[in-house]
Amino acid sequence: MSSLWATLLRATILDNRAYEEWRKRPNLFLRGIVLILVVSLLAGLVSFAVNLATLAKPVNVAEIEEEMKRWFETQSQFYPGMQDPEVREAMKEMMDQIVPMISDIASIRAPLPRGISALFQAVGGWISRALTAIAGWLLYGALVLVVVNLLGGTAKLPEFLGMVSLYVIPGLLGLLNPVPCLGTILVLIGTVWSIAVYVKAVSFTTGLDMGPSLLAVVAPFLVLVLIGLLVGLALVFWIVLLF
Amino acid sequence: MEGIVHSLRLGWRALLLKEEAYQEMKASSNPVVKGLVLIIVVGAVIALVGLVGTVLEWASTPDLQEIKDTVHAYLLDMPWWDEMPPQALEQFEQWYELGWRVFPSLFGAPNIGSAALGIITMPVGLVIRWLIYGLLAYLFARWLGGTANLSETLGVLALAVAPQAVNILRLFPFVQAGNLVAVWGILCAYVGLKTAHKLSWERAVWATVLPFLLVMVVAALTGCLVSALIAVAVKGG
Repeated sequence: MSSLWATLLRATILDNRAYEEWRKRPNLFLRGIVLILVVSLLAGLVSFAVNLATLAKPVNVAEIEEEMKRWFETQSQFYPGMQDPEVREAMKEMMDQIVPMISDIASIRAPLPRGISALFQAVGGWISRALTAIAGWLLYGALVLVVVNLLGGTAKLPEFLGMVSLYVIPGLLGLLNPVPCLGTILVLIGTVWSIAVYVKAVSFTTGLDMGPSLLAVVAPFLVLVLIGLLVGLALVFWIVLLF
Repeated sequence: MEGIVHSLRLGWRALLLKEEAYQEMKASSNPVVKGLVLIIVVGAVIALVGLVGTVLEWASTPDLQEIKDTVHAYLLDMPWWDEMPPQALEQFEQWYELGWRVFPSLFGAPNIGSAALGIITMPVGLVIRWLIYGLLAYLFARWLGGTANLSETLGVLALAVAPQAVNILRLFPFVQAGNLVAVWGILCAYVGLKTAHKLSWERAVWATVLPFLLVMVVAALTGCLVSALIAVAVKGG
Protein backbone atom coordinates (compact mmCIF):
# COMPACT_ATOMS: atom_id res chain seq x y z
CA MET A 1 0.00 0.00 0.00
CA SER A 2 2.78 2.43 0.89
CA SER A 3 4.54 1.66 -2.42
CA LEU A 4 1.28 2.40 -4.23
CA TRP A 5 1.03 5.76 -2.46
CA ALA A 6 4.66 6.51 -3.28
CA THR A 7 4.03 5.68 -6.94
CA LEU A 8 0.96 7.89 -7.11
CA LEU A 9 2.67 10.80 -5.39
CA ARG A 10 5.74 10.54 -7.63
CA ALA A 11 3.43 10.45 -10.66
CA THR A 12 2.17 13.90 -9.68
CA ILE A 13 5.73 15.27 -9.87
CA LEU A 14 5.98 13.70 -13.36
CA ASP A 15 8.63 11.14 -12.34
CA ASN A 16 9.17 8.68 -15.23
CA ARG A 17 9.79 5.72 -12.91
CA ALA A 18 6.39 6.21 -11.26
CA TYR A 19 4.65 5.91 -14.64
CA GLU A 20 6.71 2.79 -15.40
CA GLU A 21 5.73 1.24 -12.05
CA TRP A 22 2.05 2.10 -12.60
CA ARG A 23 2.13 0.53 -16.08
CA LYS A 24 3.59 -2.72 -14.71
CA ARG A 25 0.74 -3.21 -12.25
CA PRO A 26 -1.81 -5.83 -13.35
CA ASN A 27 -5.38 -4.92 -14.41
CA LEU A 28 -4.48 -1.33 -15.26
CA PHE A 29 -8.00 -0.46 -16.46
CA LEU A 30 -9.63 -1.72 -13.26
CA ARG A 31 -7.01 0.17 -11.24
CA GLY A 32 -7.89 3.30 -13.18
CA ILE A 33 -11.57 2.90 -12.33
CA VAL A 34 -10.79 2.37 -8.63
CA LEU A 35 -8.38 5.33 -8.59
CA ILE A 36 -10.91 7.72 -10.19
CA LEU A 37 -13.67 6.44 -7.88
CA VAL A 38 -11.63 6.76 -4.67
CA VAL A 39 -10.18 10.19 -5.49
CA SER A 40 -13.57 11.52 -6.64
CA LEU A 41 -15.22 10.27 -3.45
CA LEU A 42 -12.45 11.79 -1.32
CA ALA A 43 -12.54 15.11 -3.19
CA GLY A 44 -16.31 15.22 -2.77
CA LEU A 45 -16.21 14.43 0.95
CA VAL A 46 -16.57 18.04 2.11
CA SER A 47 -19.43 18.75 -0.33
CA PHE A 48 -21.10 15.54 0.89
CA ALA A 49 -20.85 16.67 4.53
CA VAL A 50 -22.15 20.17 3.70
CA ASN A 51 -25.06 18.71 1.67
CA LEU A 52 -25.93 16.28 4.46
CA ALA A 53 -25.95 19.07 7.05
CA THR A 54 -28.08 21.30 4.80
CA LEU A 55 -30.59 18.58 3.96
CA ALA A 56 -30.91 17.34 7.54
CA LYS A 57 -31.49 20.85 8.91
CA PRO A 58 -35.15 21.95 9.16
CA VAL A 59 -36.08 24.71 6.68
CA ASN A 60 -35.55 28.15 8.22
CA VAL A 61 -38.45 30.23 6.94
CA ALA A 62 -37.13 33.49 8.41
CA GLU A 63 -33.84 32.95 6.59
CA ILE A 64 -35.67 32.39 3.27
CA GLU A 65 -37.73 35.54 3.81
CA GLU A 66 -34.59 37.52 4.55
CA GLU A 67 -32.91 36.09 1.43
CA MET A 68 -35.89 37.04 -0.76
CA LYS A 69 -35.86 40.60 0.62
CA ARG A 70 -32.14 40.88 -0.05
CA TRP A 71 -32.67 39.60 -3.61
CA PHE A 72 -35.40 42.18 -4.21
CA GLU A 73 -33.23 45.03 -2.89
CA THR A 74 -30.31 43.96 -5.12
CA GLN A 75 -32.56 43.75 -8.18
CA SER A 76 -34.02 47.17 -7.38
CA GLN A 77 -30.58 48.72 -7.77
CA PHE A 78 -30.34 47.44 -11.35
CA TYR A 79 -33.99 47.92 -12.34
CA PRO A 80 -35.26 51.26 -11.01
CA GLY A 81 -38.83 50.28 -11.98
CA MET A 82 -38.80 47.88 -9.03
CA GLN A 83 -38.50 50.85 -6.65
CA ASP A 84 -41.99 52.00 -7.63
CA PRO A 85 -44.20 51.91 -4.45
CA GLU A 86 -46.88 49.91 -6.32
CA VAL A 87 -44.37 47.27 -7.40
CA ARG A 88 -43.02 47.10 -3.85
CA GLU A 89 -46.53 46.64 -2.50
CA ALA A 90 -47.26 43.86 -5.03
CA MET A 91 -43.97 42.19 -4.12
CA LYS A 92 -44.80 42.36 -0.41
CA GLU A 93 -48.22 40.80 -1.05
CA MET A 94 -46.63 38.00 -3.04
CA MET A 95 -44.04 37.33 -0.33
CA ASP A 96 -46.83 37.21 2.24
CA GLN A 97 -48.20 34.25 0.26
CA ILE A 98 -44.97 32.55 -0.77
CA VAL A 99 -43.24 32.44 2.62
CA PRO A 100 -46.04 30.57 4.43
CA MET A 101 -46.36 28.29 1.36
CA ILE A 102 -42.68 27.34 1.64
CA SER A 103 -43.16 26.78 5.35
CA ASP A 104 -46.16 24.49 4.73
CA ILE A 105 -44.36 22.54 1.97
CA ALA A 106 -41.33 22.10 4.21
CA SER A 107 -43.53 20.64 6.92
CA ILE A 108 -44.78 17.82 4.64
CA ARG A 109 -43.02 14.71 5.88
CA ALA A 110 -41.62 11.74 3.95
CA PRO A 111 -42.38 8.25 5.33
CA LEU A 112 -38.77 7.96 6.54
CA PRO A 113 -37.35 10.32 9.19
CA ARG A 114 -35.75 13.51 7.85
CA GLY A 115 -32.23 12.46 8.90
CA ILE A 116 -32.37 9.18 6.96
CA SER A 117 -33.89 10.86 3.88
CA ALA A 118 -31.15 13.48 4.03
CA LEU A 119 -28.49 10.78 4.33
CA PHE A 120 -29.90 8.92 1.31
CA GLN A 121 -30.00 12.10 -0.80
CA ALA A 122 -26.50 13.19 0.20
CA VAL A 123 -25.00 9.73 -0.41
CA GLY A 124 -26.86 9.47 -3.74
CA GLY A 125 -25.45 12.79 -4.92
CA TRP A 126 -21.97 11.92 -3.67
CA ILE A 127 -21.88 8.57 -5.51
CA SER A 128 -23.47 10.07 -8.65
CA ARG A 129 -20.73 12.72 -8.88
CA ALA A 130 -18.06 10.01 -8.64
CA LEU A 131 -19.80 8.00 -11.40
CA THR A 132 -19.93 11.14 -13.57
CA ALA A 133 -16.17 11.54 -13.04
CA ILE A 134 -15.63 7.97 -14.29
CA ALA A 135 -17.86 8.65 -17.33
CA GLY A 136 -15.86 11.81 -18.10
CA TRP A 137 -12.57 9.95 -17.79
CA LEU A 138 -13.76 7.18 -20.19
CA LEU A 139 -15.25 9.53 -22.78
CA TYR A 140 -12.44 12.07 -22.80
CA GLY A 141 -9.78 9.34 -22.70
CA ALA A 142 -11.32 7.64 -25.76
CA LEU A 143 -11.39 10.95 -27.66
CA VAL A 144 -7.76 11.71 -26.73
CA LEU A 145 -6.76 8.23 -27.93
CA VAL A 146 -8.39 8.93 -31.31
CA VAL A 147 -6.26 12.10 -31.68
CA VAL A 148 -3.16 10.21 -30.44
CA ASN A 149 -3.69 7.62 -33.18
CA LEU A 150 -4.17 10.35 -35.79
CA LEU A 151 -0.88 11.92 -34.66
CA GLY A 152 0.96 8.63 -35.12
CA GLY A 153 1.02 7.40 -31.52
CA THR A 154 -0.31 4.03 -30.47
CA ALA A 155 -1.78 2.40 -27.37
CA LYS A 156 -4.44 -0.12 -26.43
CA LEU A 157 -7.63 1.43 -25.08
CA PRO A 158 -7.75 -0.25 -21.61
CA GLU A 159 -4.06 0.33 -20.88
CA PHE A 160 -4.27 3.91 -22.15
CA LEU A 161 -7.26 4.67 -19.94
CA GLY A 162 -5.52 3.04 -16.97
CA MET A 163 -2.42 5.19 -17.49
CA VAL A 164 -4.20 8.53 -17.95
CA SER A 165 -6.30 7.88 -14.82
CA LEU A 166 -3.31 9.27 -12.90
CA TYR A 167 -4.49 12.76 -13.88
CA VAL A 168 -7.11 12.58 -11.13
CA ILE A 169 -4.65 12.75 -8.18
CA PRO A 170 -4.11 16.54 -8.20
CA GLY A 171 -7.92 16.73 -8.11
CA LEU A 172 -7.59 15.99 -4.39
CA LEU A 173 -6.92 19.71 -4.03
CA GLY A 174 -10.69 19.96 -4.56
CA LEU A 175 -10.97 18.95 -0.90
CA LEU A 176 -9.83 22.50 -0.07
CA ASN A 177 -12.47 24.09 -2.29
CA PRO A 178 -14.57 25.38 0.66
CA VAL A 179 -11.58 27.37 2.03
CA PRO A 180 -12.57 31.03 1.47
CA CYS A 181 -10.66 32.81 -1.36
CA LEU A 182 -7.80 30.29 -1.40
CA GLY A 183 -10.09 27.35 -2.32
CA THR A 184 -10.85 28.53 -5.85
CA ILE A 185 -7.16 29.22 -6.54
CA LEU A 186 -6.19 25.77 -5.25
CA VAL A 187 -8.82 24.11 -7.46
CA LEU A 188 -7.45 26.06 -10.44
CA ILE A 189 -3.91 24.92 -9.59
CA GLY A 190 -5.22 21.35 -9.29
CA THR A 191 -6.82 21.58 -12.74
CA VAL A 192 -3.65 22.83 -14.45
CA TRP A 193 -1.62 20.21 -12.57
CA SER A 194 -4.06 17.48 -13.70
CA ILE A 195 -3.60 18.56 -17.33
CA ALA A 196 0.20 18.35 -16.89
CA VAL A 197 -0.09 14.79 -15.47
CA TYR A 198 -2.49 13.85 -18.29
CA VAL A 199 -0.06 15.12 -20.97
CA LYS A 200 2.84 13.28 -19.31
CA ALA A 201 0.80 10.03 -19.13
CA VAL A 202 -0.18 10.36 -22.81
CA SER A 203 3.41 10.97 -23.85
CA PHE A 204 4.69 8.08 -21.72
CA THR A 205 2.07 5.57 -22.91
CA THR A 206 1.93 6.39 -26.60
CA GLY A 207 5.52 7.38 -27.36
CA LEU A 208 4.50 10.82 -28.64
CA ASP A 209 6.63 13.88 -27.79
CA MET A 210 5.28 16.39 -25.26
CA GLY A 211 4.09 18.84 -27.97
CA PRO A 212 1.86 16.36 -29.86
CA SER A 213 0.74 14.91 -26.50
CA LEU A 214 -0.42 18.36 -25.37
CA LEU A 215 -2.22 18.77 -28.69
CA ALA A 216 -3.88 15.34 -28.27
CA VAL A 217 -5.10 16.30 -24.78
CA VAL A 218 -6.42 19.76 -25.76
CA ALA A 219 -7.82 18.95 -29.23
CA PRO A 220 -10.95 17.01 -28.12
CA PHE A 221 -11.94 19.89 -25.83
CA LEU A 222 -11.59 22.42 -28.67
CA VAL A 223 -13.48 20.16 -31.09
CA LEU A 224 -16.31 19.63 -28.58
CA VAL A 225 -16.60 23.41 -28.01
CA LEU A 226 -16.62 23.99 -31.77
CA ILE A 227 -19.31 21.32 -32.33
CA GLY A 228 -21.39 22.85 -29.53
CA LEU A 229 -21.11 26.30 -31.13
CA LEU A 230 -21.96 24.98 -34.60
CA VAL A 231 -24.99 23.04 -33.34
CA GLY A 232 -26.16 26.12 -31.41
CA LEU A 233 -25.72 28.34 -34.48
CA ALA A 234 -27.52 25.82 -36.71
CA LEU A 235 -30.42 25.71 -34.24
CA VAL A 236 -30.65 29.52 -34.08
CA PHE A 237 -30.45 29.71 -37.88
CA TRP A 238 -33.23 27.11 -38.23
CA ILE A 239 -35.50 28.90 -35.74
CA VAL A 240 -34.92 32.27 -37.49
CA LEU A 241 -35.61 30.64 -40.85
CA LEU A 242 -38.85 29.10 -39.60
CA PHE A 243 -40.38 32.00 -37.72
CA MET B 1 -27.23 -22.25 -14.06
CA GLU B 2 -23.57 -22.94 -14.78
CA GLY B 3 -24.06 -21.41 -18.23
CA ILE B 4 -25.45 -18.20 -16.72
CA VAL B 5 -22.56 -17.96 -14.24
CA HIS B 6 -20.10 -18.45 -17.10
CA SER B 7 -21.87 -15.76 -19.14
CA LEU B 8 -21.72 -13.37 -16.18
CA ARG B 9 -17.98 -14.02 -15.79
CA LEU B 10 -17.57 -13.36 -19.50
CA GLY B 11 -19.55 -10.13 -19.02
CA TRP B 12 -17.19 -9.06 -16.20
CA ARG B 13 -14.13 -9.56 -18.43
CA ALA B 14 -15.90 -7.72 -21.26
CA LEU B 15 -16.58 -4.87 -18.85
CA LEU B 16 -12.83 -4.59 -18.33
CA LEU B 17 -12.45 -4.32 -22.14
CA LYS B 18 -10.47 -7.57 -22.36
CA GLU B 19 -10.35 -8.61 -26.03
CA GLU B 20 -10.19 -12.33 -25.18
CA ALA B 21 -13.72 -12.14 -23.69
CA TYR B 22 -15.05 -10.91 -27.03
CA GLN B 23 -13.04 -13.54 -28.91
CA GLU B 24 -14.46 -16.26 -26.64
CA MET B 25 -18.01 -15.02 -27.27
CA LYS B 26 -17.40 -14.94 -31.03
CA ALA B 27 -16.04 -18.50 -30.97
CA SER B 28 -18.84 -19.92 -28.79
CA SER B 29 -21.29 -22.37 -30.34
CA ASN B 30 -24.35 -20.09 -30.23
CA PRO B 31 -23.40 -16.48 -29.48
CA VAL B 32 -26.89 -15.06 -30.10
CA VAL B 33 -28.60 -17.32 -27.53
CA LYS B 34 -25.76 -16.80 -25.06
CA GLY B 35 -25.97 -13.03 -25.56
CA LEU B 36 -29.75 -13.03 -25.26
CA VAL B 37 -29.61 -14.92 -21.94
CA LEU B 38 -26.96 -12.53 -20.62
CA ILE B 39 -29.03 -9.46 -21.56
CA ILE B 40 -32.24 -10.84 -20.04
CA VAL B 41 -30.51 -11.85 -16.78
CA VAL B 42 -28.67 -8.51 -16.44
CA GLY B 43 -31.82 -6.54 -17.35
CA ALA B 44 -34.02 -8.39 -14.85
CA VAL B 45 -31.47 -8.13 -12.01
CA ILE B 46 -30.90 -4.40 -12.65
CA ALA B 47 -34.66 -3.77 -12.74
CA LEU B 48 -35.14 -5.66 -9.43
CA VAL B 49 -32.37 -3.65 -7.78
CA GLY B 50 -33.85 -0.48 -9.27
CA LEU B 51 -37.21 -1.37 -7.71
CA VAL B 52 -35.65 -1.60 -4.23
CA GLY B 53 -33.86 1.75 -4.79
CA THR B 54 -37.10 3.36 -6.03
CA VAL B 55 -39.02 2.17 -2.96
CA LEU B 56 -36.35 3.71 -0.71
CA GLU B 57 -36.44 6.90 -2.81
CA TRP B 58 -40.23 7.05 -2.49
CA ALA B 59 -39.93 6.57 1.28
CA SER B 60 -37.45 9.50 1.42
CA THR B 61 -39.62 11.87 -0.63
CA PRO B 62 -42.46 13.99 0.80
CA ASP B 63 -45.95 13.15 -0.51
CA LEU B 64 -46.20 14.83 -3.93
CA GLN B 65 -50.01 14.91 -3.85
CA GLU B 66 -49.85 16.87 -0.59
CA ILE B 67 -47.31 19.30 -2.11
CA LYS B 68 -49.51 19.70 -5.18
CA ASP B 69 -52.57 20.52 -3.04
CA THR B 70 -50.64 22.94 -0.83
CA VAL B 71 -49.21 24.88 -3.78
CA HIS B 72 -52.64 24.87 -5.46
CA ALA B 73 -54.34 26.33 -2.40
CA TYR B 74 -51.77 29.12 -2.06
CA LEU B 75 -51.79 29.95 -5.79
CA LEU B 76 -55.57 30.32 -5.76
CA ASP B 77 -55.19 32.73 -2.85
CA MET B 78 -52.91 35.08 -4.86
CA PRO B 79 -54.29 38.64 -5.27
CA TRP B 80 -53.93 38.70 -9.07
CA TRP B 81 -57.01 36.47 -9.65
CA ASP B 82 -59.27 39.47 -8.94
CA GLU B 83 -58.01 41.16 -12.12
CA MET B 84 -58.23 38.06 -14.33
CA PRO B 85 -61.20 37.00 -16.50
CA PRO B 86 -63.09 33.94 -15.14
CA GLN B 87 -61.89 31.63 -17.94
CA ALA B 88 -58.27 32.25 -16.85
CA LEU B 89 -58.90 30.21 -13.70
CA GLU B 90 -60.29 27.33 -15.73
CA GLN B 91 -57.27 27.41 -18.03
CA PHE B 92 -54.92 27.55 -15.04
CA GLU B 93 -56.55 24.45 -13.53
CA GLN B 94 -56.05 22.52 -16.77
CA TRP B 95 -52.38 23.51 -17.10
CA TYR B 96 -51.73 22.89 -13.41
CA GLU B 97 -53.12 19.34 -13.62
CA LEU B 98 -51.20 18.64 -16.82
CA GLY B 99 -47.99 20.04 -15.34
CA TRP B 100 -48.25 17.81 -12.29
CA ARG B 101 -48.85 14.78 -14.48
CA VAL B 102 -45.82 15.48 -16.71
CA PHE B 103 -43.10 17.23 -14.68
CA PRO B 104 -42.62 14.96 -11.62
CA SER B 105 -41.71 11.98 -13.80
CA LEU B 106 -39.54 14.21 -16.04
CA PHE B 107 -37.55 15.31 -13.00
CA GLY B 108 -37.15 11.79 -11.68
CA ALA B 109 -39.88 11.61 -9.03
CA PRO B 110 -39.92 8.00 -7.75
CA ASN B 111 -42.61 5.87 -9.35
CA ILE B 112 -42.89 2.42 -7.80
CA GLY B 113 -45.36 1.22 -10.47
CA SER B 114 -43.08 1.93 -13.40
CA ALA B 115 -40.07 0.60 -11.47
CA ALA B 116 -41.96 -2.68 -10.93
CA LEU B 117 -42.97 -2.74 -14.58
CA GLY B 118 -39.25 -2.32 -15.36
CA ILE B 119 -38.71 -6.01 -14.45
CA ILE B 120 -40.39 -6.73 -17.80
CA THR B 121 -39.73 -3.56 -19.81
CA MET B 122 -36.02 -3.27 -18.94
CA PRO B 123 -34.92 -6.66 -20.41
CA VAL B 124 -37.29 -6.20 -23.38
CA GLY B 125 -35.94 -2.68 -24.02
CA LEU B 126 -32.34 -3.87 -23.80
CA VAL B 127 -33.04 -6.73 -26.23
CA ILE B 128 -34.73 -4.39 -28.75
CA ARG B 129 -31.85 -1.88 -28.54
CA TRP B 130 -29.33 -4.72 -28.90
CA LEU B 131 -31.05 -6.09 -32.02
CA ILE B 132 -31.41 -2.70 -33.76
CA TYR B 133 -27.89 -1.51 -32.89
CA GLY B 134 -26.46 -4.97 -33.66
CA LEU B 135 -28.03 -5.08 -37.10
CA LEU B 136 -26.91 -1.55 -38.02
CA ALA B 137 -23.40 -2.07 -36.62
CA TYR B 138 -23.13 -5.37 -38.52
CA LEU B 139 -24.10 -3.68 -41.80
CA PHE B 140 -21.61 -0.84 -41.28
CA ALA B 141 -18.84 -3.20 -40.12
CA ARG B 142 -19.28 -5.42 -43.18
CA TRP B 143 -19.36 -2.34 -45.41
CA LEU B 144 -16.06 -1.27 -43.84
CA GLY B 145 -14.45 -4.64 -44.55
CA GLY B 146 -15.38 -6.63 -41.41
CA THR B 147 -15.35 -10.41 -41.47
CA ALA B 148 -17.72 -11.58 -38.70
CA ASN B 149 -21.23 -12.82 -39.46
CA LEU B 150 -24.44 -11.41 -37.95
CA SER B 151 -24.64 -14.05 -35.21
CA GLU B 152 -21.06 -13.36 -34.06
CA THR B 153 -21.66 -9.59 -34.19
CA LEU B 154 -24.78 -9.86 -32.05
CA GLY B 155 -22.88 -12.14 -29.65
CA VAL B 156 -20.03 -9.69 -29.02
CA LEU B 157 -22.42 -6.71 -28.86
CA ALA B 158 -24.45 -8.50 -26.18
CA LEU B 159 -21.34 -8.12 -24.01
CA ALA B 160 -21.70 -4.33 -24.42
CA VAL B 161 -24.65 -4.62 -22.04
CA ALA B 162 -22.17 -5.44 -19.25
CA PRO B 163 -21.84 -1.78 -18.11
CA GLN B 164 -25.51 -1.97 -17.10
CA ALA B 165 -24.04 -3.71 -14.03
CA VAL B 166 -23.13 -0.22 -12.78
CA ASN B 167 -26.86 0.27 -12.24
CA ILE B 168 -26.54 -2.12 -9.27
CA LEU B 169 -25.59 1.09 -7.44
CA ARG B 170 -29.18 2.24 -7.89
CA LEU B 171 -29.84 0.12 -4.85
CA PHE B 172 -28.82 3.34 -3.09
CA PRO B 173 -31.64 5.80 -3.65
CA PHE B 174 -30.94 8.98 -5.67
CA VAL B 175 -27.89 7.47 -7.44
CA GLN B 176 -27.75 8.32 -11.18
CA ALA B 177 -25.40 6.37 -13.46
CA GLY B 178 -26.88 7.24 -16.87
CA ASN B 179 -23.89 8.73 -18.71
CA LEU B 180 -21.42 6.21 -17.39
CA VAL B 181 -23.46 3.22 -18.61
CA ALA B 182 -23.86 4.78 -22.08
CA VAL B 183 -20.19 5.76 -22.53
CA TRP B 184 -18.83 2.47 -21.18
CA GLY B 185 -21.30 0.55 -23.36
CA ILE B 186 -20.02 2.36 -26.47
CA LEU B 187 -16.41 1.49 -25.55
CA CYS B 188 -17.39 -2.18 -25.08
CA ALA B 189 -19.14 -2.13 -28.47
CA TYR B 190 -15.99 -0.64 -30.05
CA VAL B 191 -13.74 -3.36 -28.61
CA GLY B 192 -16.30 -6.02 -29.59
CA LEU B 193 -16.62 -4.84 -33.21
CA LYS B 194 -12.87 -4.34 -33.58
CA THR B 195 -12.14 -7.83 -32.23
CA ALA B 196 -14.92 -9.76 -33.97
CA HIS B 197 -14.58 -8.10 -37.37
CA LYS B 198 -10.76 -7.76 -37.23
CA LEU B 199 -11.07 -4.08 -38.14
CA SER B 200 -8.40 -1.37 -37.87
CA TRP B 201 -9.03 1.16 -35.08
CA GLU B 202 -10.36 3.82 -37.50
CA ARG B 203 -12.83 1.47 -39.13
CA ALA B 204 -13.92 0.06 -35.78
CA VAL B 205 -14.60 3.62 -34.54
CA TRP B 206 -16.75 4.32 -37.60
CA ALA B 207 -18.60 0.99 -37.32
CA THR B 208 -19.34 1.83 -33.66
CA VAL B 209 -20.53 5.41 -34.11
CA LEU B 210 -22.25 5.26 -37.52
CA PRO B 211 -25.42 3.57 -36.14
CA PHE B 212 -25.73 6.40 -33.58
CA LEU B 213 -25.07 9.06 -36.23
CA LEU B 214 -27.69 7.49 -38.49
CA VAL B 215 -30.28 7.55 -35.69
CA MET B 216 -29.31 11.15 -34.80
CA VAL B 217 -29.62 12.29 -38.43
CA VAL B 218 -33.03 10.61 -38.75
CA ALA B 219 -34.14 12.19 -35.45
CA ALA B 220 -32.84 15.64 -36.50
CA LEU B 221 -34.57 15.43 -39.89
CA THR B 222 -37.81 14.33 -38.19
CA GLY B 223 -37.42 17.26 -35.75
CA CYS B 224 -36.91 19.67 -38.67
CA LEU B 225 -39.93 18.28 -40.48
CA VAL B 226 -42.16 18.48 -37.39
CA SER B 227 -40.99 22.04 -36.54
CA ALA B 228 -41.52 23.11 -40.18
CA LEU B 229 -45.07 21.70 -40.04
CA ILE B 230 -45.71 23.55 -36.76
CA ALA B 231 -44.32 26.76 -38.29
CA VAL B 232 -46.60 26.38 -41.32
CA ALA B 233 -49.57 25.76 -39.02
CA VAL B 234 -48.72 28.83 -36.87
CA LYS B 235 -48.19 31.10 -39.89
CA GLY B 236 -51.29 29.72 -41.55
CA GLY B 237 -53.29 30.38 -38.37
